Amino acid sequence: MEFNEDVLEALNRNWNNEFLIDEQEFDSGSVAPLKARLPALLEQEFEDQRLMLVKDPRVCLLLPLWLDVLDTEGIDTRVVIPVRHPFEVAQSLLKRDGIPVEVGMSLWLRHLLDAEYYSRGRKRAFVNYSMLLTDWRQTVEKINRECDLKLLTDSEEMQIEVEAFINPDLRHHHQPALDGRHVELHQWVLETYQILQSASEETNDQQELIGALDKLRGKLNIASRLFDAGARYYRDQARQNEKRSELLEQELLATKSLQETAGERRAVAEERLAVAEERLAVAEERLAVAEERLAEMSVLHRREIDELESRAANVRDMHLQEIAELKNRLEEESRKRTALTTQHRQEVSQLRRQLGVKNRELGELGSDLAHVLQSRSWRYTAFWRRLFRKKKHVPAAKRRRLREAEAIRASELFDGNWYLQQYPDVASAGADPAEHFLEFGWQEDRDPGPGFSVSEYLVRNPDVAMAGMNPLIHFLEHGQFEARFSGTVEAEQRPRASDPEELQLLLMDCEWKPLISVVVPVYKTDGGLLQQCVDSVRGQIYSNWELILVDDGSKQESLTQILHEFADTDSRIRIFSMEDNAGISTATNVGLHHAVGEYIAFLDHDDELTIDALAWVVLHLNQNKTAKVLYSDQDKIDATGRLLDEFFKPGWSPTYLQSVMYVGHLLVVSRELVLEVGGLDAEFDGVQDYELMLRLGERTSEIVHIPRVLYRWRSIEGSLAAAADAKAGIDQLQEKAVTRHLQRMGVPAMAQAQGGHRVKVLPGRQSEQPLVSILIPTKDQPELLGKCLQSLFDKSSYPNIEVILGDNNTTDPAARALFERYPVKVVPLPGRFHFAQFNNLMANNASGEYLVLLNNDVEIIESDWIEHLMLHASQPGVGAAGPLLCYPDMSVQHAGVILGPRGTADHVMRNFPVDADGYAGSLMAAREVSAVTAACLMVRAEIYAAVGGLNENFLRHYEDVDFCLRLRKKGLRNIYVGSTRLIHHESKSRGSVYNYTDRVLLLDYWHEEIQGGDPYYNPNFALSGNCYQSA
Amino acid sequence: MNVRNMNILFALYNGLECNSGGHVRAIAQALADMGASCIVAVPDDHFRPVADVGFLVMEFGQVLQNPSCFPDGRPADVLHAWTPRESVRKFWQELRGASVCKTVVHLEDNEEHLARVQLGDRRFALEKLTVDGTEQGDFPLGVSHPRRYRQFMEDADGATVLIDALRDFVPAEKPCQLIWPAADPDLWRPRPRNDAYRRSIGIGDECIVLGYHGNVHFANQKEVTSLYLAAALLCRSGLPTKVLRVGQDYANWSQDFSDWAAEFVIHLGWQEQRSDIVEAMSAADIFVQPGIADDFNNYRFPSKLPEFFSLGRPVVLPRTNIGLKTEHLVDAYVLEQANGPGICEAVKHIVQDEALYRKLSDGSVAFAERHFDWAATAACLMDFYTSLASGSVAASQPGADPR
Repeated sequence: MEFNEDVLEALNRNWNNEFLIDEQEFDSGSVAPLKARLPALLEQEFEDQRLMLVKDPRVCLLLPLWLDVLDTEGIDTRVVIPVRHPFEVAQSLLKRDGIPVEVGMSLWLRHLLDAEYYSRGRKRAFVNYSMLLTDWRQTVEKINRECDLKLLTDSEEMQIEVEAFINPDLRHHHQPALDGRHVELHQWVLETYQILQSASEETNDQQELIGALDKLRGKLNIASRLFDAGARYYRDQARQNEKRSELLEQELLATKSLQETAGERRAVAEERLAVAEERLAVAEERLAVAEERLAEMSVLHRREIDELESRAANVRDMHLQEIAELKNRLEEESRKRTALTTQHRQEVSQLRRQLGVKNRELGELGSDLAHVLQSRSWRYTAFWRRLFRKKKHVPAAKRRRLREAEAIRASELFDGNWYLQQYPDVASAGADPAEHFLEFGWQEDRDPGPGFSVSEYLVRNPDVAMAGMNPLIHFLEHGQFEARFSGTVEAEQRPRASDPEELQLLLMDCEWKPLISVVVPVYKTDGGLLQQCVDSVRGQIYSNWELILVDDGSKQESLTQILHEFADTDSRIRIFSMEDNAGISTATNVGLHHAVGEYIAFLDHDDELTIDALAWVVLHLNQNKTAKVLYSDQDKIDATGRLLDEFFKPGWSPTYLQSVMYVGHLLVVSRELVLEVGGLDAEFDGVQDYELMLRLGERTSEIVHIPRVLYRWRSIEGSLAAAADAKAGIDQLQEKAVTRHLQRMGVPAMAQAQGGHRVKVLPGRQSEQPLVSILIPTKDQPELLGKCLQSLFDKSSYPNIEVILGDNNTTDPAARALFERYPVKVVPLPGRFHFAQFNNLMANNASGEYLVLLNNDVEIIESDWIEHLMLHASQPGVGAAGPLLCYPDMSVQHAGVILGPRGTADHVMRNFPVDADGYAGSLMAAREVSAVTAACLMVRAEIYAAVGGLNENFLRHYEDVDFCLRLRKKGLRNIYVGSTRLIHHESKSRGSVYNYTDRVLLLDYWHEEIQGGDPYYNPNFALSGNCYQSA
Repeated sequence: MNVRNMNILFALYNGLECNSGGHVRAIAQALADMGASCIVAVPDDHFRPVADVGFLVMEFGQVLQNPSCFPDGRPADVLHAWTPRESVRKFWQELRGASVCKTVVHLEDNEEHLARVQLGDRRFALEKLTVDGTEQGDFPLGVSHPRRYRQFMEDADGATVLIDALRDFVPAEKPCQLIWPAADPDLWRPRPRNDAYRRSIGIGDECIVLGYHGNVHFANQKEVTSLYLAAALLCRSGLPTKVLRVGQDYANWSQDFSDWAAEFVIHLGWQEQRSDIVEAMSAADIFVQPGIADDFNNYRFPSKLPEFFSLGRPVVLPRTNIGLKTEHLVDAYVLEQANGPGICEAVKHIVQDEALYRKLSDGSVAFAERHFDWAATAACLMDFYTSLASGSVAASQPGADPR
């Protein structure tokens, strides 16, 4: 019995478990050791007995294991299956073990059916339990007969013993009551019982009964498997609950023990408490005495404090009163000044507009008149004019007005219905809204639609007001392509200030908090503006700064007094005065020499820092500890502090700086470096900070851009901020600064001022003209290829070129004739068109020091295009250079590639007019970009080879972006060369099928870079477009 | 203290069904087989009853209510905090008030990287700096707090790490043990290619099948994209290829991307039964763990790798985490960058060289047999607990192999 229990436990079963044990389980690892033990157990139990009798109901469940072992041991086996009424069995189990009747019957069913099933084919006997009790001799006889045994036949003594043991009283139980829920079980049990009963009465097994038993066993097995998992789960739960109960009982005992101990400890503690209370009483007495003394002293001190406070309050009230009076006076003055300024500004604006209009009209009329009067035709056709006086000449001004009216009508910013609703006088006069706006409306500050503000546009663009242009016409013709403010007011609401608490936290985490010296040259500055300037420094979130104010010989007593008041109120402010006015550079240099900070921040006397400016500088310094120069974005404000414009700059772009003064403010430079380069150069007063930046850029590339507005540039009359041409001679100074810079750098180029603070860098004469290999993959398309080759050979001025045509199975005779007509080297490129692979193969056949990848649909229109590209491609640190490409209608097709739009990359400023300035000169200037198109790209042959040429994993797109990004990864800069242009007939030769695998491939290589943002496209611009629109 | 009377409490940040839960389950079972008493505590809302195991599963709340919940009526001798994530750290903090035991913190990921990705740079920086009690909003329980987790590591008695590089996050001089996971040997063992299964999902005999099982989420979306791309590039080069994937998608693929991927990927979705995953994966020719060495991969042990190695196919993986322990062209095909083009070239190399295919198939099994064994991992861990309890453990030695 013990052995059987062990086996069942190993099988995770109990004898009172009605679920099936699969035969395979008897071969599992946990049962095998037990099974191996059985022969030894039998040996031990029965020794040399000839007949062994094993009686245990568990054997029914474990019969396969037993029979297997007995067979292996060569022991002849007989099976006797007593068939007792199931209800009796169930009742017995209920009484003995508390097992529910239904479970008892299930157990009976499981044991009997398993015993019958596993004993098939063996000598066996089914015996009736009732018969056994009433007539055991007949039963034994049946067993002997069917099992081929001779039990109890020889020993009379044993027969007497059996007789005495067996009697009908052993049958204790009778059929129990069952409820209706167990009808099916009842039925299976009864059926089984009837079959087995029948077997116990017959002499042999009946095959047809076996079939019926199989069906019943099958049903039971299905039911067992169905509920086995659940039963196991509940059994585990029960075990766990048992364990928990045991634990709880143990805890209870432990708690009781603790209670007893606690009682004892409590008695001891109470004794100690009594002693402590006595001591406490003594201490309290002492304390009372001390408190009395303290109270007396407090009264005395209180009186003294009250007297002092009263005196201090009087003094404070006096001061507050004085301050309030001064503040009221100051505010009154300020209000008056603001009102006057506003009025003055409006008047000036109005006068400018009127003046501009009149000048323009006058000029046009004069020009028309002079032109007409001086023309020969006028003189020779006097007779005919007189004859045909009805045919009128349409003057230029009228033609212009007609064209402009059409442009206004076509613009989305003009809304005729809105205009008439907004201005009923126009509607009642029956005027055409577009013509009314053109002729009168804009001069009366009437807006053309809800999306455009005439007054805002003119205030923000004083050059337009000065020119007397209709602001909407200006925006449509120029402003939109220069990314100028559109006239809507939403931009003003842009949240830009940082959270001071957040910045304080971030600053706390900074290891390095350098002293920053803010240097401000002062000259006859308006006191109010200077106060705002100084307040903007004193209000900085970052506190480790010093402010150095250098009075450049203003000789104004009031200013001197204000300056000294600043120094008196804050020990971080220092004042230096110069005897005579020496100019902004000299004054600033004085400040530089007195500064002790690790970094110098340059601030003009009427401008302001945002409160987070120095905090962001320090945060960036902690991320870029080798940074020598930092610059930020900036905005422009008017005299009253109103926002006029914002300027979002690219990352450090030395090539762009040669054409545009883009670095501007806020500029922060390592003191060591700025002293090393000799500070500012007074020769360049007016563009002194720009000229300094050119020299700094020659010394270091550790230059960091902070893409946040940290500086507020004041636009007042006469300042550069107000108008590009506000200061005479600036363009010439800029040209001179760039010329000197190019000379110092040894660049063979010339600077040429273009007006509007733009400088064009032109290629100079080169001592050597290395061979340039121009690689053109092509297939048929004779018209495009012909235009390309003809323009290439006719227009190009560069003398030393070889042209390699990569022929991809050209069959068109006209195209093949072009191969003969021009001095080209043809490289056959069979197979499917593969741009990257073809260019690499052509590059292998090229001899040039420089390679130009050129599409066969590009047309040369400027002779010095190769010289322009080579000027940049030949510079140290430069990878690829690509020109401005335009469509045949002279709109921009390529002006550099930015990362991010469409999730990958796109051409910037596509469709802008080629003559536009672009955003802050970014269309006309050469500048650093992330990539240029391979439709026309120059690169040194050795660099091309060093990076392995174009990546042939790309089939149709992005091989150029990948190529340029690999150059960038090698530390090389890619340059868009806006100073030269070619025509690209792109749409004519390129299909529109998009290869998505190429897209995924680009992202696989460059996901981080694309996600990180394009360093040359400010993150404040939206990536939903490619035209520098604010995000 | 010996194994037989040691009480070990595992505190898991999630339910036993997750990948980490699979590790805890296998280790707790192996420790129980050695005679230790184990309880796995999970957050209250992650409790699901588990049958046929040699340890108890309880909710955090139940353990906190009765810390002496082990069968011998004693509390835990060792608390093994399975990651320092906030739910586990809070549990430890509360339990510490009620019971004294040795604490070991397990690291299986770059917790700072994950926290930064999930919180965003700004909140991560602020949480790192903010003083306790002034935080804004609830901190997610499934994330390690940038500052508090470091203190947790400091206060612990020791640490376990899944990969050597994670020792970077264990305070210096703190005892530390490297433990490697394994695969379930009843399921994951060398199997022949299941061609019948391939046919049942429409894959021909000539098609190259790249197997990958596992969920896709924000952290591994890019590298799974690389795997898809590799299949696309192989097809482009004339080698018909499919990625056979099992697992859930938590990533946001665009419709365009999904349309494109449908040509190269057979995604069978979530499979409830582990045996079904094995069935599917046995249809693969090569297993690929895509990715590159970065802040995420350098500090993780992809749980599926022991399973890949056990099936007897060539394994392609990047030179990071396990890739640093495998010999190129012997144990596996190790790539400097397992990006799309890199995987494409590796697969081409393997399928075009039959001898290499066989060598790598054998090599992967041999590697699995040498390195992936739960019983050995548990034995190693038990030694660590014992030495911690006796105070005889020394600080970790970088680079020690668990076996």
